[in-house]
Amino acid sequence: MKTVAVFGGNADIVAILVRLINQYDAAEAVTFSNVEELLAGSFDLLLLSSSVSETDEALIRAQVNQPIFQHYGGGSGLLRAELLPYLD
Amino acid sequence: MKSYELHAADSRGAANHGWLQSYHTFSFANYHNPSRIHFGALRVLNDDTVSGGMGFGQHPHDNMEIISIPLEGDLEHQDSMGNKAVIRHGDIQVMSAGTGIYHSEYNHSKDETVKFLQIWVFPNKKNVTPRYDQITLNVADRHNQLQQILSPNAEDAGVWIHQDAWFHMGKFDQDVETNYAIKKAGNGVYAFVLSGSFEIDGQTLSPRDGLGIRGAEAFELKALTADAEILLMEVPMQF
Repeated sequence: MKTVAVFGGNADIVAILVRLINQYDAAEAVTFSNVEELLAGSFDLLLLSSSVSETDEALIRAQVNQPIFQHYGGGSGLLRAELLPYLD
Repeated sequence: MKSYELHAADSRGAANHGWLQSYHTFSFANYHNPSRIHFGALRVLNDDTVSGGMGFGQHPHDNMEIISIPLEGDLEHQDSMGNKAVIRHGDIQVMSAGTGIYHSEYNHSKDETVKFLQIWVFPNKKNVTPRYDQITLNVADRHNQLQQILSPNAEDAGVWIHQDAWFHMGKFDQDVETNYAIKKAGNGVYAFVLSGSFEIDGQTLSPRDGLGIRGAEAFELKALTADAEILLMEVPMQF
């Protein structure tokens, strides 16, 4: 089981991403309400959604050592293609 | 130096969900091919056929330029910005997902299939305000010439996106030749044959074959059959 952190400023989209990720047997989604919580959090992968400030994103990319994915969308599309190799 | 990347039609990822037959030029859904992730800023080229009355329910996108081109039939679109529209053959639709949108796409007909291309291009700017546009093109303007259908400029022909990309379509009689000149140095072109056959710089392409062209300033294309139709997608290779 891999823990996938979902982080973004659009709460509705984050909620959908959490639901989609939790459909995979091999994954469990977690969320964090701000960048400080995220940086202190425990997870295997980070899915970065939209509405993250440039400052926060730079901080995240500098300090998060786990693989980071940018979300582009498509419930069963790109998300699945990009996550699958890491969930096997 | 020019280089070419040929993707034969039958080498694409295929998915048959009954109501949806989809061919993926680049990795998408259950098709994952590490050597076929993207061509420059072009990330998705899906060739979809949707049965009557069926479609894609509401799903989210963010930070992506999404272009839909109906090839046959009509596609019904609804999104979180309040847009509800039908796009038909000859139309082109564009969405800048930016900070996030949801949309659904359904076959507008209960009986007839709809065939369309869905193309995703990485934007050159993140977290833009989401936007939607669709226009009707005069398909006669692509007879034996390349018709611009997309550019980075709102004032230019076709729709526009947040990327230094230019798309053209052309439908040619047999043996008609034309030339394409790169709009921005360093860009590549992904050529996708919709019908008939073409020769590009000596390479023969059949229906639904794709050819990525890098390092070119210009190239020649020639229709080898009647009613040969092609889509050219010029995109940045570094983005």
